[in-house]
Amino acid sequence: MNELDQQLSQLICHTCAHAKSSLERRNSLDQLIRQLMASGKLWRRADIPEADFQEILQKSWIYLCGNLCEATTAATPYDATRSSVLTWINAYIKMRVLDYRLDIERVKQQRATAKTMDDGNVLDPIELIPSPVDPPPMLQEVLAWVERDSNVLRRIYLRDRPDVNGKTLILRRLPPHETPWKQLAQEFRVSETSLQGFYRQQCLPRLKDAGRELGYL
Amino acid sequence: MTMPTRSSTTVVPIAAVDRQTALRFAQQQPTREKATQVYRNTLAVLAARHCLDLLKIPTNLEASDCWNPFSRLVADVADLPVIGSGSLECRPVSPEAQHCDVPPEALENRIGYLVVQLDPSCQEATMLGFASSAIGESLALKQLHPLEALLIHLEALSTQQTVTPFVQLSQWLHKVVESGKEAHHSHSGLVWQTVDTWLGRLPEPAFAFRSFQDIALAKPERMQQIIEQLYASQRLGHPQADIVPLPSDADFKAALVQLIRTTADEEVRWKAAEILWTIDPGNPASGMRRVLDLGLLLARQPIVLMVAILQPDVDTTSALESRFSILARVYPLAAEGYLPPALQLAVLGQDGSLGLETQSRERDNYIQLKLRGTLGEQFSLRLCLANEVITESFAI
Repeated sequence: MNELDQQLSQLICHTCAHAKSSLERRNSLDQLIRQLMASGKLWRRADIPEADFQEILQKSWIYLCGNLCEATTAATPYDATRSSVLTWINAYIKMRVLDYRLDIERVKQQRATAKTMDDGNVLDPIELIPSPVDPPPMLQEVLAWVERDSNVLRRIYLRDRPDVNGKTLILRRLPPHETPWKQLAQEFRVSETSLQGFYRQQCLPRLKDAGRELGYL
Repeated sequence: MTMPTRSSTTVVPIAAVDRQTALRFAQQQPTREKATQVYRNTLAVLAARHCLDLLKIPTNLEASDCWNPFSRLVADVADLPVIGSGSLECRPVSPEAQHCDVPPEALENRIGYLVVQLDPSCQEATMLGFASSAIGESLALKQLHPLEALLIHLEALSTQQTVTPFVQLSQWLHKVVESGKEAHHSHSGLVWQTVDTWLGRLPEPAFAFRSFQDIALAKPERMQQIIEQLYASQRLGHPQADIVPLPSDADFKAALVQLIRTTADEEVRWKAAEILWTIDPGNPASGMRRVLDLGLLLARQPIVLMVAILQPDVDTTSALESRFSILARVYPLAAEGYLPPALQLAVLGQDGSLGLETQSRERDNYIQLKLRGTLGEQFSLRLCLANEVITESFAI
């Protein structure tokens, strides 16, 4: 821990040792903020107007004062085992600057789309996806691979359940027969956790192998 | 405690060009379900990348699974590689959702999970929150952390400035009550899970301590016999003065706990701990066990590393510092239930020097090593098979 971190650490201990609305705590917080500002290690953005950045900084100090020792607006207070106080407050500052920039983008976009959307109906973009016609060649190749390797794939199965094997599961998880895990679990009368664990450890690696063999990965 | 204000959720406008990209990927899919899945996954990833771009955090989407047409087709993937850290999974949810399912393909090799809410017209994406792990394949939206947590997590991963660079085993003992909720990361980014979480993932407990399988149902006379035998076995190789006598009352748990805490015989200590794990899994005297799923990382063999730690009482009759007992075991995950032969497990000291070593034979259910150390001591466990090596480092 370098000298600055040590100083800040001690100051934080001192701050949190005093009651929430006490004068000692307020003074201590002031001192902490001054030290953070003087450290030169606060995150800065040169490309947003200074006045706006100062406003963000003010918000950040309010956040710090409210959540350093106990959580008031945050779900959890500052946790020294997770990060240094600089990392913690810089993360907050960065996120507020991010929100600021996203707000500007959103306003720009709303102005742009207001000009083009005339009927006011909410369009579900997924409606734009045309119904699939022929299965893509890639899928046919994978299904052919499953057939070719079916002896090997059938021999990998969930303990004591040869019917819940690599071939069956892969075919039920690939299109066109893609089946949700919940349904598969009910059908096979096995927990989702077991099925997914088996799929992850035994089936996915083999699918990756197939991808490499076929030249797609 | 007041809820965080609206301004603490991050709303990202989705650009038309991103919707076009998502549409293009969706049109490659053979079914409507798959097309919808790919469309939404793509938007979630692109929205997340936009945020990271603005935060000047470099990403490499071109290297991701979700940017590969084959992976998109055969799996449910929404991964965003963050340069220097690992892949962040970006899961899309609808506004009505209460929780977010995590598919099996996203349960490993991920540094964390971002939940992205897409509005019905897909004009906006709201970053609902972040979780560093997904125990139970599902994320409760109410328990997500704000995105600041993602930034702190990324910084810790990329600069290796984690407050605990090694897995700190003694800390496991302090988390006994919170087992299941705490996730610890090895330096390779894999997650140490508690045994209870792990047992839920397998069709049947992999840690079938086969000689003790009947213990949970054992008649009291049989238990008595087992415990007496265990106490008696201390005599082998130990001077009379170090033998712990069997207590006269018939409480099995207390007898086992006493043995664990006071015997000088490591073999016996761990045997007693194993029995206690079977009959009273939550007992603090049996220490803590955690499991690291190594997947197929070692020579494409599915194996699991379990590490257990015990803290016997401080030896008050001598000036010795309190020493912790550690057990490392390697289990197979294959349906056949045996380890591949010639798998080596070794303990390396703080300076890298080789300590104990063991190797699997043809039909081993597991292999193990035991060691003792004091608080703060560092060591590594090295697994070797077919010229491939995995090393996990620890500090006690």
